[in-house]
Parts: sequence; structure tokens; C-alpha cells
Amino acid sequence: MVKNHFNLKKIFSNTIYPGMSILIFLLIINAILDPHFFSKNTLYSNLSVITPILIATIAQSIVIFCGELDLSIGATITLVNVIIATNITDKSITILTAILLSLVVALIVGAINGLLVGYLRLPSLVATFSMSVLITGVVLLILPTPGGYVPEVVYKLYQIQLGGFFPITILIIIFVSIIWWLITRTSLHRYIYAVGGNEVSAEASGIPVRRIKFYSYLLSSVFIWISGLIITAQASTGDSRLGASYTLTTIAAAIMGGISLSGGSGRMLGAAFGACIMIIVSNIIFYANIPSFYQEMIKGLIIIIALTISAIPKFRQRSY
Amino acid sequence: MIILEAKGLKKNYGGVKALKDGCLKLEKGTVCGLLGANGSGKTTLSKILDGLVSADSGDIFLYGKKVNIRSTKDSKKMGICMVHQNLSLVDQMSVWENINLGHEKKNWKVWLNNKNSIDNARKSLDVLCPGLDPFKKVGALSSADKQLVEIAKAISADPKILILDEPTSSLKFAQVDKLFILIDEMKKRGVSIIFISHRLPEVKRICDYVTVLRNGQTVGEINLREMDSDKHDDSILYLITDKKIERKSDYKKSCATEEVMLESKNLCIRGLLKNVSFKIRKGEIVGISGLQGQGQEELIFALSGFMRLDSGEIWLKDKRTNWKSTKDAVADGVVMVPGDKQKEGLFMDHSVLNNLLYPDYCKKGTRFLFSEKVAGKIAKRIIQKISLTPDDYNLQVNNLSGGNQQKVVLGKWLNQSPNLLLLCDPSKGIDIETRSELLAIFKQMACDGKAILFFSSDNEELVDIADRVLVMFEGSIVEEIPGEGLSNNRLIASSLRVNKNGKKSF
Repeated sequence: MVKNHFNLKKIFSNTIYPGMSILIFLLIINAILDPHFFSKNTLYSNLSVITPILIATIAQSIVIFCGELDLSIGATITLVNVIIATNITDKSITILTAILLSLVVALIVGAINGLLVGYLRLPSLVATFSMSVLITGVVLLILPTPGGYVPEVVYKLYQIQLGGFFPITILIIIFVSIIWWLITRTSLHRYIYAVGGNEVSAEASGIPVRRIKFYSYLLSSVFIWISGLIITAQASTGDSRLGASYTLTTIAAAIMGGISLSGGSGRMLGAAFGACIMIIVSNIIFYANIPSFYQEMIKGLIIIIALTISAIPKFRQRSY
Repeated sequence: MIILEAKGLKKNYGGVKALKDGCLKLEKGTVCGLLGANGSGKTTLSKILDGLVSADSGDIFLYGKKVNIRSTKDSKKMGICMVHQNLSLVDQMSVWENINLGHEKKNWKVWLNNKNSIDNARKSLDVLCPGLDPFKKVGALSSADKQLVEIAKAISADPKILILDEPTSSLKFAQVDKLFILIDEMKKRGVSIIFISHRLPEVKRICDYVTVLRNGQTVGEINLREMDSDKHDDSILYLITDKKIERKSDYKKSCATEEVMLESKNLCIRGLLKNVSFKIRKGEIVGISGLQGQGQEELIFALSGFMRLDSGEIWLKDKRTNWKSTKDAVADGVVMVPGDKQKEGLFMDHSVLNNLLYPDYCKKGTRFLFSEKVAGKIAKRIIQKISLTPDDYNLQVNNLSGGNQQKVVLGKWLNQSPNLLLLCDPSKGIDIETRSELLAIFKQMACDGKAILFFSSDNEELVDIADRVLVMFEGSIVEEIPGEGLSNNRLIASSLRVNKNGKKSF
């Protein structure tokens, strides 16, 4: 018998394809609505909007792989933003210290989350939610009204096009992909999946479950920090509400990418597709000239439809 | 040389004393059988040695030196590996990933070397099940294959001490033989093995000596290589139960009547069942036998409305049924007692009372407000009938021993006065004493005018209790053995499709 290379059944059972097809479909709609979609400027501006949410989704997905959730992502992004905006001046030494300071703070938040969820075994939903409330309080203490100062170098750097055509966002995406690829080559990556897949089995296999959960929050906080930096460069100001929408958007993006909320399955590439979908949906709403009263409603509707489609591979799985 | 010694191990779960005084001596290059009834602390003892649970008190000596095993990581470093009963595999991962989980091959101690890992997995799989694809997801495997992967996983870590917790309960005959050859080889290499099992013939075959636990205490050790082998059975059984068990023969009296309870006509499920037709009469116990995975479970799932039929008819008392879900089947009085209690039979974190009464809660015409008092009364009556120990209905089900959990599964249907009971390997992993209690309850129910379809992987049970046995092979019924001709050998012969001349009749 000739081996069948194109197996329809296999494609439908792969969790990554629904996300990919939705993305392609939405891209086509977007390209139809926006005549300049393929122009250099539009492509680059789309990329610069997608990059921060893409990296935040990676952060969220790491924790979801591990079978947990992080509801404090938005607040932590804001915290990074506010810390930079209030500590930075034009001197290059303060730029460096402000960036390092924000990294340390992001790591501390990740460590606390990891302690609460990993070692103290609190439900991640509640623990990280409380953390987000706490962080939001801290943010308001540091910067009650939007403001602060971000030097020109920082936000100019984000708009640089190397050699006139190669935008820095692509460089960032490549850099982040390499980091993630390196992580997939370590046992930590496999242990995260094992813990998310079946905690008891992981424990019985000699995997330190608590420590792995701790590490996954810590690792995730590094990506949150990168995302926070980019958003700061993009907004070029400090704002205590900057990251609020990121928390749930990243969860929706991860699920659309075929990542199971119960943990242990899914691929990071899917998460990337999911993140792109979230941005393209906003684009479509914008270009379709929908009255502003209906925009949010229609956005929600599109996301629900996309989520339903991405759940198709699971319809076929029976519960026993 | 004594390689491992445990002294006075104690472990309490909440108020339940799982282990009171666990002792064990393991000599280098021997196989030690660990025996005992359900809830006697075998699994707890082995889990302590594996580091999965930590003992409340007691000492463990490795090579004469006192050691402190705090986690499974510690025990792995010491060369102790355990093959778990409630498998330690991650369903979402592939076979080779699972086999290497926890001891991955690495380059420069950081980067995973998948090629070496896959080779390693292949090597340990080749010994046990050469045909298995290491790239398959574990979730898609049958329970026998899962068990083999679990064993392969333990071997691949190259342990000095191997603990096998009921490794044979889901394996086929040939696979058990392979496992025993492997155990012999490892023994020669100086690996010490702790073998936990309920199956005495296997224990006698493979073990050099046995340690027996009763109610969380080590009560004795018997050297199987010294004594006259005929006396082993009695002396082991005596240690396990503290009393002499006699095979009850009064099960044999049939209560079967002429009235047909259920008739199935040409049941088909694509790839699983082929033209299955049979009748069950009122008061009759019909056994189902055969090799693992020949469609026995699927037949029971189909009859309980759990699986949809592709074609065929089920007639219940002269009425054709059209069940769309288990709910319809239960309403008609056809109920199932599944073998996998934790997955299909019980809500492990809920109380005995709730577990017993869930069918009542879902029944049509249940009052909106359920009286606690009435519920307690009903539960008490059921508990008496199934002689549950301890008889406290407020206890959480996962604090009960395996045998008593199975009694609860059975008990939840008693109040519904079912017509037909579908038993799907109900005594898997249950000790001899509780098993005979269960069999007595089944017989009593049959004599009360219910029909019972009884699938069991243990032939002895079928010989003991069934009025006749249907043997299944590749999804269809190939033979019916009447009660008079029943014997263990006969069942094995017909499930292997060997006819009386000794030829295979494929």
C-alpha cells in the first residue's frame, strides 16, 4: 500500500491547525479590508503591535503548560513599565540601572507566584489574582497619574530598521524564538509538560514537582519583563493601566493556539498564532468601519467563534 | 548479604493507620514477595521505600547504613526504582519520553540528547514488547502495554533494587512469561526485586521468599525454596488472613430460571464487536472470558448504554430497547460495576453516603429537597447488606481499602433494584477474603432474581460462580462452556483457541 502523506484525519486531530487556519482566514479578510495591508509601513506597524503580546503569550503559555494560570501578567507588565518610567533619565547609566531594576522586580514577582503556587500549593487562579491586585496597588503608589519620562533613545530604538528595511521587532522575535528553542532542548521543558500532564506521575518519576512549578513562574517572568520593556518603548510613557488587558488576552491567545488549559499539551508555535489572531481581530474591527459602540461586542463575538473552531480537535475525543 | 532493611515503619493517613510496623529484609540477587490483603499496607510500605510518601517513624538501612529517603529523586539516586500500580506515566507524552522521564540522556549535562534517549527506550522495550512504537502517545495504549512501558521505564534507569507493585494484573499470559524471564536475568545480575502480587501461583513461581503483611504489620516471612511446595499455599494464606479459608462450594447451586432477562441480537461495533448474540436468564450468572482486550469490556459498555452500537438489537424482557445513554439503561435497571473504580465507579473525594446515593439523586421523581435523615437510613441499610468496614458513611471513599471501595460501587446500585448487573472485572486487585465476600454478594443477588453478566480476567472466579461462560475472541463469542465443564484449564484452552486435540484453530 502506498503510504498516504496527506492524512486529513491527522490534520484535524492536531491542535495547531485550527489556530493556523483561523489566522490565515482573518489575514485574508484583513488584507481585503485594508488596501495597504502589504505595504511596508503597515506590515511593520502590525509587527510592532504583535511583538509584545506575542511575548506575553509565551510567558502565559509556559505557566499553562505546567497546568497553572498567571492572572498577574498584565499587572507585572505595568509594574515594569512604571518602574522604568520613574527611574530613567537621559544618562545612559540610569537607563541600564532602570532596566536591570525592572528585571529584578519582575523576577521577584515570578518568584512569589512560584512560591505561592508551587511550594504553598495555593490554587494559581486565586494566588496570581491576589498578586495582580497587590501589584496594581504598588503601581498606583509609584505613579498615581500617567506620566514619567522615557528618553528618546529608548523609543527610537524600537522604531529602528536595520539597514533601512530589517525592523528590530523581527530581531526581537528571532531572539525570543532562539531562547525558547534552547529551553526546549533542556529537561526543564520536558518536566514542565510532565508536571502539567500528570502531577502524581511526575512526582513518581522523580521529578521535583514544586520546584518545576517555581521555575516555570520564574522563567515566565523573564518573558513578561521583555514584553514590558517593549510596551514601554512603544508607549514611551508610564501608565498605570497599560498592561491591564494583557492578562486575559494572553489566555485566550494560548487557547486559540491549541494549548490545553489543563496543562501538558500544546505547542508554543500555536501560542504565537493565537497572539497574532488577537491583534488581527482588532485590525479588522478598525478597518471595517464598525461604529465604536459595537466594536467591543463584535470583537468578543469573533473571539468566541475562533475559540469554538480551535476546540474542534477536542470534539472528537470522547471522555473515556 | 542484606542489601535493604526496613524496620518499624509507621505511616498514618489522617486517622487511618496504613502502616503500623512494617519490616522488610531484602537480600542481594533475590526476589522477595510482598503479600497481604488489601489495605494491609503493602503499597504504603513500597511507596515509603520509593520515597513517594515519607514514613512517620521507622528506619531504613541500605547496605547496613541508615538512609533518609525524602523524595523519589533520593531513592533513584540510591538505585531504587518502583513500577507503580496506578501508573506513573504521563498520557500526553510519547512512549520514549515517558521511559526516560526523570533520567534523560544529556549532552554536557544540560542539553537533551533525544537520539540517545530513544535508543535507550528502544533497548528496554525490546526485551518486553518488541513491537511497540516508541513514538506513540502513552494515552493511546492499552492497559497491558502501559504496564509494559511502566516496567521498561523502571528497567531503563538500571536500578539495583526494583519494586514491582502488582505488575501482572493487567498483562497477558505470554507477557507475564516474558516478565519472569526478565526478572530471572536481573536476579543473576545481582538486582534485588520486591514483587507484590495477589496471585499466589505467580508468587510461588518467581519469588525466593515472601514477607507477609497483615493490618499494617509484618507478620512473618516464609522461605519458598526450603519448604515442601504443597504446604506453601496453606501457610501463606494462614499468614495473610489469620484464619483458614476454605473454598466455598455452595456458590455452585444455580438459581437460574427459564425467564429470559436480556437478549442481545447481532451486536456490532465497528472494529470492536462482531455479531454478538446471547441470552441471559433471570437468576443466572453468565461469565465472559477470553484473552485481554478481545471485546469483553466493549460488550459490557455497549450493554450499559455507554457505547453506541453500530447495529444490533438489545431486548430486555420481551421489549426492544433503544438506549441513547447510560441514563436510559439505568432507568431500565441495567447497571454496570466497572473495574476501574477510581476512574469510572466512584467520586473518590466524596463521602460514602453520597457515593451510595448518587443514583437516587438522579432518578426521576426525586424530591427537590432530599432529607438527610432518610438518606442516612438508606445508606445504613446498604452498608449492612454489603458489610462495609468501617461502617461509617461519612468517611471519604479514598480512605477505604480497594476491596471496600468496590463494595461501595456495588452498593450504589443495590437500592435501585436492578434487573441486570454488568460486572466488568470487579475484583481486579482485590484480596482473597474480600473477593469471596463479593462473590457471595453476587450470588445472593442472582438468587434474588437478578441476572448477572460477569466479565473477569481471573478464571478461578468464573469457575467458582458462573452458571456458564462465554468465551470471546476478536470481538465475537466463539464458545459457550456450560457450568459442568468449567475448569481453569478448559477456559485457558478455549481463550487461546486450542481445541481438544491441542491444535490451534485459527
